[in-house]
Order: sequence, then C-alpha cells, then structure tokens
Amino acid sequence: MWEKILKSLTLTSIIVLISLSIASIIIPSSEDFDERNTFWNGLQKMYEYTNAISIDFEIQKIIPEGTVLLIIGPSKNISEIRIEAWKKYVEDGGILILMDEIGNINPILSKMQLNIEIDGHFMLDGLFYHWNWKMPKITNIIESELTLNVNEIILNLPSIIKIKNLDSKIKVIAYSSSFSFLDLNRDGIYTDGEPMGPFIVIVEIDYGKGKIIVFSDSSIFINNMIDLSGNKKLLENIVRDKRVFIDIGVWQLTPQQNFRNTVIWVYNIISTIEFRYVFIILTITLIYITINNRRKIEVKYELEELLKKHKNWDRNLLKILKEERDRIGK
Amino acid sequence: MKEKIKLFTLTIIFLSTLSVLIYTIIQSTISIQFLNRHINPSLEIEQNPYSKILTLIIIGTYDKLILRKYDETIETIRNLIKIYIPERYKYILNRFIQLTNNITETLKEIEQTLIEIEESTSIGRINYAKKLIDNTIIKLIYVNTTLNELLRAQEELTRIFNIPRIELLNRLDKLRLLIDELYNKILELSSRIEKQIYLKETFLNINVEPKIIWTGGNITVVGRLYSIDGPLNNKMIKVLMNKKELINVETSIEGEFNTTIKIPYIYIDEVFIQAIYMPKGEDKQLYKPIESNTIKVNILYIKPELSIQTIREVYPGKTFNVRGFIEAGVPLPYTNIYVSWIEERKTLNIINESFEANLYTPINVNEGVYVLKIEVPSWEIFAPTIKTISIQVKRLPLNFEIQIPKIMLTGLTSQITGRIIYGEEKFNATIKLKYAEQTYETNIDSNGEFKITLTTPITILTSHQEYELTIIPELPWYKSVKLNGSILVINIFTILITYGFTLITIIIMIKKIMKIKLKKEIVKGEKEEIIMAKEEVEIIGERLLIDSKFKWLLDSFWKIVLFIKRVIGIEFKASMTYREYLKIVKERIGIFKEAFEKLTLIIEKIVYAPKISEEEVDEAKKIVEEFEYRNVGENS
Repeated sequence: MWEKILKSLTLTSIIVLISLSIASIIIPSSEDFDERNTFWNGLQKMYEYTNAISIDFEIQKIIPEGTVLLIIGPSKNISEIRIEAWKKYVEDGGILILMDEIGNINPILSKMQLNIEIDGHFMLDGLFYHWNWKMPKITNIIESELTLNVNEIILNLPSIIKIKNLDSKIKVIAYSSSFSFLDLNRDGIYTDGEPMGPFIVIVEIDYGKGKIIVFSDSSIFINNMIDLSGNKKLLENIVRDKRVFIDIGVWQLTPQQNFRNTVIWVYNIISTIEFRYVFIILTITLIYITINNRRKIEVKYELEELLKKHKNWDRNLLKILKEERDRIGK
Repeated sequence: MKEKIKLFTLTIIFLSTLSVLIYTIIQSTISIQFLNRHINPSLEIEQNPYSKILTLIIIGTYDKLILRKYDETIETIRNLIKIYIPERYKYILNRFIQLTNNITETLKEIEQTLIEIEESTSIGRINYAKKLIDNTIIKLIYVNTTLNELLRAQEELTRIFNIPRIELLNRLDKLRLLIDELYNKILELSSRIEKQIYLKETFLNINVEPKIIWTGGNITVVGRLYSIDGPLNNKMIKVLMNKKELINVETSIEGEFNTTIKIPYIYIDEVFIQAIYMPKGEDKQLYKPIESNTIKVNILYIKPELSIQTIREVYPGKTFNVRGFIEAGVPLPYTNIYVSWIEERKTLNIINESFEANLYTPINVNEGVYVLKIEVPSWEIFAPTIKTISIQVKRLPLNFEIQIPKIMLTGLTSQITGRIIYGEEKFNATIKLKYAEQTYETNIDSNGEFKITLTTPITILTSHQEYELTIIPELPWYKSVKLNGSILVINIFTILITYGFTLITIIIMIKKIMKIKLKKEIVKGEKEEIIMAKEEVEIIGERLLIDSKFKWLLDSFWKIVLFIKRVIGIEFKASMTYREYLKIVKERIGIFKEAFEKLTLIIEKIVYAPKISEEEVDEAKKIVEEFEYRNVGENS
C-alpha cells in the first residue's frame, strides 16, 4: 500500500512540476521590466524594437565599441565588481544608460565620481502632462544628436536630476516645465512650499572614450510608454546602429522569475545537441521499461486453482503429478 | 483498463489546471509589491490641469496682451496649446485659445498699420493713409466682435477649469479699453489727415546725374522744393536711396538744392534715388509733407567668371589637386582667392588668371558627398564670386581571401587564415576577431597574410558560436571590412559522455528486452503446458481416482520419453497428443519403434479409456522391462 501511495505522490509531483514549468513559460510574465512581459509594465516592446539582449554584466562582458548597455530601475544593491565593470566598459568606449527615479543609482554615480544625483522625490506637472499629473510631458529638449526629431517625451512618475557641482562634461538634454513640482509629501497634488520647476530630467556626460546618459525615470521605455509622443524616437536615436544590451543582474528576482529562469536554463541545456537526442531516447526507453514491467507474468500455483475447482481431489496425488511433470519438463 | 485510463487522464487535467491557476494567482500577488516606480494610466483617473497654474497662465497671457507685447502673447498661446486637456473639454479651451490668438494677431496688425499710417501721413501720402485707415477700422470691428465671443466663452471656461471669473473679466475689460484706445488713435490720425487737406501743397522734383555709374562712384542730385506761394528756402530735404536715408540737404533761397553723393560699393544692377520733405516746427501747420519723383540709377560692376576643373572622387588621407580659372575681362586688382574644403580654408594665389591648390582630405571623414567652395573677394568695382562643386569622398574596397573553419572541437585549437590581395600598393592591416567571448588581434605579415589561432573553451557545449572579424587597413583610403558568421563547435567530451551513456543504456535495455521476450515465450509455453497439464491433470486425476495402480507405468513411459528427447532431441510438447508424438518419433527410434508404439497406445488407453485389460498391462510391463534391460530410461 505504501508503495502505491509513493507511486501516486511521485506521479502527482511530476505532473505538477511539468505543468508549472509549462505555465511559467506560456503565461506571460507580469514582472516589472521583464523581457517577456507584454503587459503595461514590461519591456517586451523595447526588446522587440531594439533586438536587445539580456546579460548579467557581472558574469558576461561585451565589447564596448558599437554597443549600448542599459541599466533600468535597479532594485537591489549593486556590487563593487559590477560598478567597476560598467566603469571600464564606458571608459573603453561604450555607452551606458542609467535609468532610475528612486535613487538606487546614486552610489554608482558617486563611485564613478559624477557630480549628479537622483533626488528620489517624484516630480509631477499640473499643466504639461499626459492623462495624469504623474506622467509629465517634457517639451524643453535641447537640440543634439540624441534628440534629433524629438520634440517632446512623456515620463511616468519620474524624479529629477540634481547637479551637485558644475562640471563642463555634464550636458543637460531635457528639463521639465516651470509648472512642474516635487511632490514631497506624495499626495499627488501641489502643496505650498513644494519646489517648482524647471527640473533637469536627462543629462549626458562624457566619460573616458564613451559616455553616460542618465534619466531620472526608469519607465520611459516600458510597454505602455514607449509608443507615446517622442519616446520611441529618443530610443532609436540612442541605439542607432548599435547592439543593445540590458543588464538584468540589477533586479531582485521574484520567486516565479527564478523558477522560470531555472526552467529556461534546463530547457537550454536539454536543447543542446549533447542532451537533446539523449533525452528523447532515454524518455522513450523509460516509458517502454515502465510499460513492460507492468506486464508481469503471474504464474499461479495451478494446484490451488485445481483444488478450488475440484474440491474432492487428492492434494497429495496432484502434487506428485506436478512434481513429475516439472522434473521431466526440465 | 479503459476506466483506469480515463481516471488517469482526468487526474492529469485536474492537476495541470490547478497548478496553472495557483501559479497565476501567486504571480499577480507577488508582482504588485514592485510597482512603485510607475503608474498604469488605465487605473488612474484622468486629471484636469491644475487650475491655479492654468489661471496664472491665462491671466498672464491677457496681461501681456494688454501691455501690447504681442509676440510674447503669441508665444504664450503656443505653450497653452501644449497643455493636456481631457478630450471632453478640449473644444472649450481650444476655442478660447483660438479667439485669444485671433485678437492678438489682429491687434498686432492694427498697431503696425497705425505706424504705417503715421509715416504715410508725415510724408503726405494722404490717399494711401486713408485706405489704410479704412482697413484698420474693419479690423477693429472684427476684434470687437471676437472680444464679445470671448466674453460668452469665458463663462464655461471658468466653470470647468475653476478659473476665477472676476480676474478674467477684469482682463477682458482692459482689453476693451485697449481697443478703444486704438480706435481713438485712428480718429486722431484721420483728423490729422483731414487737417492736411487744408495745408499748402508743396512740390518736390529731383534729377540725378549720371544715371549710369560704376559702383562706388559719385552722383549729383539736384532738386527744387516749392509751394503754391513760391520756393521754399532753408528747408531740410532727405535724400534716400532705396528708401534708406543717404543725406540731408538744405534748400537755398530759390528753394533749390544740389548735392553730390558717393554711392557705396554695392553690387546690384540699379538703385532708386528719391527725396522727401517733412515739415517741422511751424511748417507743420502750413505745408504738406511731400516726396519727390524717383530716379533710377544703373550701377555698373565687374563680376569675375570662375571655372573649376571637375573632380569626381577623392580619398581620405590623400591630397588632391584643384585647378581653375578666373576671368574678368580686365586685369584683376587682387592676387588671392579662398578655397574651403571640409575643415580646411586656404588662400590661393592667382597666377595668370589661374589658380591651383593641393587639398588634403582628413582620414576620419566618412564617405559621402562634400562641397568644395572657391571664394573670390570683392574689390571696388569687382563683385565677389562664389563657386562650389560637389566631390565624392570614398574609400577603396579591400580585396581579401579568408578561410574560416566550419567546425571546431572544444579544447582544441583551430586557425583562421587569410590574405589581402593587393592592388597597386601594399599596406599593413589589423585583424580583430571576436569569438566565444574572446577577442583576438593580429597584424598581417609582409606577404599580406594573417593567421589567428582560436581555442574554444571546454566549458562551451555543442552549439553554433558566432564570430565577428574586422579587417582595418592602415591606409585610410581603404575600407574596413566586417564579416559575421558562426562556427559549429562540438564538445567531444559531453557528446561522448551523454551519447556513450545512452548507448550503454540502450544495450542494457535491448538485452533485458530479449530476456523478457524469451521468458515470455517460455512462460507462454509453460502457460500452455500448464493449461494442458491442468487439463491432463484433471483427466488423469479423474482416472487415477479410479485406478492409481498404473502410476508406475506412467512414470516409466515418461522416463522413456525423456530418454528419446535426449537422444534424438524431440520433445513431447504439451500441445501434442500421444499419437502425434508417436508419429514424429517412431521412424527415428530404430529398433524400439514397435515396442514404443504398443506402449504408447496402452498409455493412451490408461489416460483416456475407461478400462484396460490385464493382458495389455502385462504386455506393457514386458515392454518396460525390455527398455530397462536395454538401459533406456532416465539415467541412461
């Protein structure tokens, strides 16, 4: 009986595991900035438009020339190793895009000795916005190669960039209207005393052979934002003729993301030539063995059967007969 | 069995559906905690603009308008258009903006026209001024009407956007005052014009000599100012050239004036000379202002002809020669001209009306069409000339051969070789290769050949690894080449391990399968035997219950059967009857044929017949003893 229970549990676990694995792949993700998230807060469209590749910059390196590396809304502490890697990447000619409204990139900016920081308070605009004050419309855009044919962009709950010390390497690319304000008490409306704009929202800084572009908003390229106004055009200008990489090692993964990544990792392994056909063959073999083992031939003790049928027969006699036959048969 | 399959299928479906549901629920709950960086607009309410700031802007717009800062007002209105307005209210604000814009632009035109009216009046162009006044009055009426519409529209606007109504009405009132002010101005100008009718007519004539002159030359302007009363003396006359003031001159006692003017060095074909009289002081109340007739003066100058040889294409890092001619029909007074090419600007000498220069194309410039410009300066009667030609900057294609392996084994080295096929010149080149997350760099040798040794790390599984090869020639007038492709990498270790393991597993499985099959057959045979045996046992059992004394005979018979099997290899199968078995073996057992035949028939009778006779038993006994004598039995 225990054997039956164990078998049932094993089978159930396998079915559940396979179902969850398939579900994790088929059901679109809903995590922030996820590559496969097709909902409003994902980056699926951005990946599609730019053919971006996800990498973990702490493990994988890329050639700086002709590439762009995006750091979007980091949600966990960034290690020294990663910052050093980014630094080297830019110094060797790469373009690093930092996008954050909470202030998680401030330690990075500090370590790179950049005289700017993200304020961390949300910037709203009661006049120049899209739909809601939390989505300010930026129309003050400085003409440059980056902003070619971009007249305005829409942000989503952004913060602002503060310049700590004047630095000739820092170029302001865009700033908000004079009617924007910092929502210090996060009530969504203007309260007396809250600072009013204009505020800087995008800067470009020359760094080594490359450059760093800082946005005080990580949401400008998410699915429901990228097609608004000049957002997509801005992205196109940034990535023009370059290979685009997104560092996914800056996000704290949810349990289902971890699970999905594991499923994909396993799938990638079994998709390699080494394992693909082996897996198929072993699976078929396993199925065959399982089926065959079930067909155990049960040789019943025929004397018992006979005696059941003919209750008045002599057991000893029948036993003698069986033994003779068995002996001769061998 | 079918029931089991149904149950199994339903269980799978149930478990799968449950797993997916649980997964979806967990996903949606966990994701929520991270959504603090942005909002989903579809979950947020659509907001109206911040009324306080909107009020400031609208009131500010009217303040500027009232102060007659029309350009600033128009700029502010342009910004107003960029404000977000919910769709249902767009018409109201847009209408308000449009009316304000119309008023602003019309008022601006009116102001400009009033200045023109004033100017025309001051120089006696009464009729023209009158026309302008009529047009201006029409525009003022339009402005007034528009203001009335604004007054009607402001009610809805202030209500929807919470704009203080009194503030806005206040501004609109001031706007009305402005309109009134302008109207009064028009009346004043009209009155001035009317007054001018009663002023004395004046007359002003001029003549200019010569009427054809070289640029920079002198002309003499003579004229006379007089009224119906006679000549007007000691009056100031303005001499204009193309409506721009050149000089002031005073009339003599006879009302005449004579002045010599130097024409500046201009290179246009004709100018227009005119004089005007604008009464000043007391004269304003006596005489009408007047402008004279216009005299056309033709200006002569020399425009040199430039010609440049055609240059089709040039190469970065190389110089090229530019040649050309400059012809003026007369000796040129200067010896230099200027040439501009990309980042360079040079001064060229003119020798015998020709020029020549060697120009350098920078090495970093991109391929494309660039403009070469030659500038000839102006010099007194010689007009400036500019000529441009477009030149293609291009790079020469790089010819090369390359051999890249199609397959590589991990852990082992392989090579990429190639060579540059030179044309007229030899040069060095750098080869860069990106492959399997490694970068390689080398230079070509003296023969133009290169070799890169690649190694694929053992950690890479079997797959296609992409590479990017770049050849960068040293000479900037050759193009760099970039090649992309992939190499099939086979990891022999992982292939061996996995496929080897699979092969062993398959062999073991095949063996097992064979054994199972064999066992099946045996078991099947045994099964059949058992069935037969069961039937036999049933029969025998029944027989033996009747007569168990023939056990010894049966025993002996089976021993003989066993002996036969060992000798000739024929088995008494469970499916055979005694006669069938006899038929098969009798021809092969030689001398024992007859005896065995008799014995078999007796045994058959024992098994199947109800009774056998004593004689038959005795005969059987003899046969058995004979066989035993001849050592035919189990142990023989």
